[in-house]
Amino acid sequence: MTLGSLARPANRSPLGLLGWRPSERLVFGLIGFVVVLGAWEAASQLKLVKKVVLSSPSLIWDAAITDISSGVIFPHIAVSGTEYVLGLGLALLVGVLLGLSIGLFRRLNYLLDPWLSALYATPTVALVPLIIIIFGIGLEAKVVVVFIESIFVITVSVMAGVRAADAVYHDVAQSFRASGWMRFRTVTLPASTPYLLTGVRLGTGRGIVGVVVAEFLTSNSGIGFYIGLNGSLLQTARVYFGIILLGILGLVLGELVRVVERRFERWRPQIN
Amino acid sequence: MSRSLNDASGRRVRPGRLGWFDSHARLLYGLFGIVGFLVFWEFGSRAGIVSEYFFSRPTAIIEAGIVEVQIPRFWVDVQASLTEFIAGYGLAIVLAIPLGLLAGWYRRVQYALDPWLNFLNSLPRIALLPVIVIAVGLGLASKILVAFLGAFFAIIIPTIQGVRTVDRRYLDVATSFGASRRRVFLTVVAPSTVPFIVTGLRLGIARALIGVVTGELYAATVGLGVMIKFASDALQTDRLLFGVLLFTLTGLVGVEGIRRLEKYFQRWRPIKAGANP
Repeated sequence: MTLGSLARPANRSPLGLLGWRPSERLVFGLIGFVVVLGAWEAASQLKLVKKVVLSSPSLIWDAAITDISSGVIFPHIAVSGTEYVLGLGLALLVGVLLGLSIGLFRRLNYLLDPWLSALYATPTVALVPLIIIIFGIGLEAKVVVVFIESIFVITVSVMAGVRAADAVYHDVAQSFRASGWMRFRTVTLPASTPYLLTGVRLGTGRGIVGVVVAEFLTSNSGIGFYIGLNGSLLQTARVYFGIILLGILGLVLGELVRVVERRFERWRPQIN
Repeated sequence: MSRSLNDASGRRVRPGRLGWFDSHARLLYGLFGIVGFLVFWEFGSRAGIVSEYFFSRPTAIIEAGIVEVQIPRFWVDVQASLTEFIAGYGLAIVLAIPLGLLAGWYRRVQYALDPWLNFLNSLPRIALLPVIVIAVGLGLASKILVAFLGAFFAIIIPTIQGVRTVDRRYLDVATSFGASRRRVFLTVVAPSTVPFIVTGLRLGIARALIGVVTGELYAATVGLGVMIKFASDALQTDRLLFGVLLFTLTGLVGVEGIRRLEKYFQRWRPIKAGANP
């Protein structure tokens, strides 16, 4: 931090909000990245930390190469991917419809609000044992876990989005005798899209947690299973490799949502 | 959740001239929703429409709860889970807020931290459980660590964002009047970051709770998660759901607490401003 304050020219904004300097961002980002990796590798090589606990970047790399070239990892990826896509797709479908209807119909909102608030506040992973009792240890249970993990954030976001539509727009639409459907299509839906996408982003993260937790507790394949199994075998490098795979999945999904977000923001005039 | 006077379709709910029923519609419908569902659950289960084996029924859950609270072991579990939650969440607050302010304030610190923060944040840190258990064992420490990892990122990311989105005009005014950097930080940056921190605190509660539950389900010897797991192994869905209910209550109490805190910090604002993302 002293580095930052010493090197700063006097006329620059204290927060760096003025000019965005990609080069500086890149340079310091790379420094941070390399320093941490280097420290990790060095600590492991010099036996400052137990290899079985923290592994090391080179060991993780070796494990990754081994399991990719032998193809061991691919069935796990396929299984987790299926569970995830099905669960999240279902949550999107139901969550968006539910959120829209709750947002549109005041009485439905009153009716469901206590339940939604309660379920929203529940760490739904606590329901995983029950879901396993009901749906068994196969694909269905994981799909349900992903669904339950991600649906509430999606529903609540969409609901908030419907409400966020400025009342003035509704008044204008009404003054021009727009039908209910038209108001929904031209005011409510566009106004709630950013909220929907926020919900989707939160939902994707929760869904990954759901897959992992469900696979930890009972399964015989999937990335969560791969991580859990290798944890029991003290194959820490493989555990980290599995976690990194999940992290990459999270990053890719987050980036995808951002792309969609930008697509839907295109019509907005730039305000600076 | 919503406090607006307009319903979504844009109709204004007209004030005045409301009957008792209309002015209490929210409460009445809410009560109806709760009672209706519970009655359906209870009698559906008794009549065999809802599988009691899988879903239990409300009165059975209450009975299981009454039995449970008389067992000393239950209170040991509660104490363990609470300790893990409070220690993990507290540690996350103590570390994430100062670090977040620092990273937001010093641009280069942020640049250096950014790749790791982004990566670790998009990582399901729950997946670190096997390694954490190897490192610190089955005791409270592993659950504290998981809860901490969950809450830490939920708090630090909005905090950084909060510092970075301080209104430029305020900074300009402060510097124009010759405020030192320390003073700018204390009087402009810190206060305007508060709503962001509060958002982080709210998200953090959920993450920490998820950490505690998952940690206890995965590997532990005491705690409410262990109770849930034992109940599920014995197919006692009533006891299982009683455990889930306790986590729900904890979550609700926590979120309500944060809401109060938010209100307290917002009280100086003349009109409710939508400062919260």
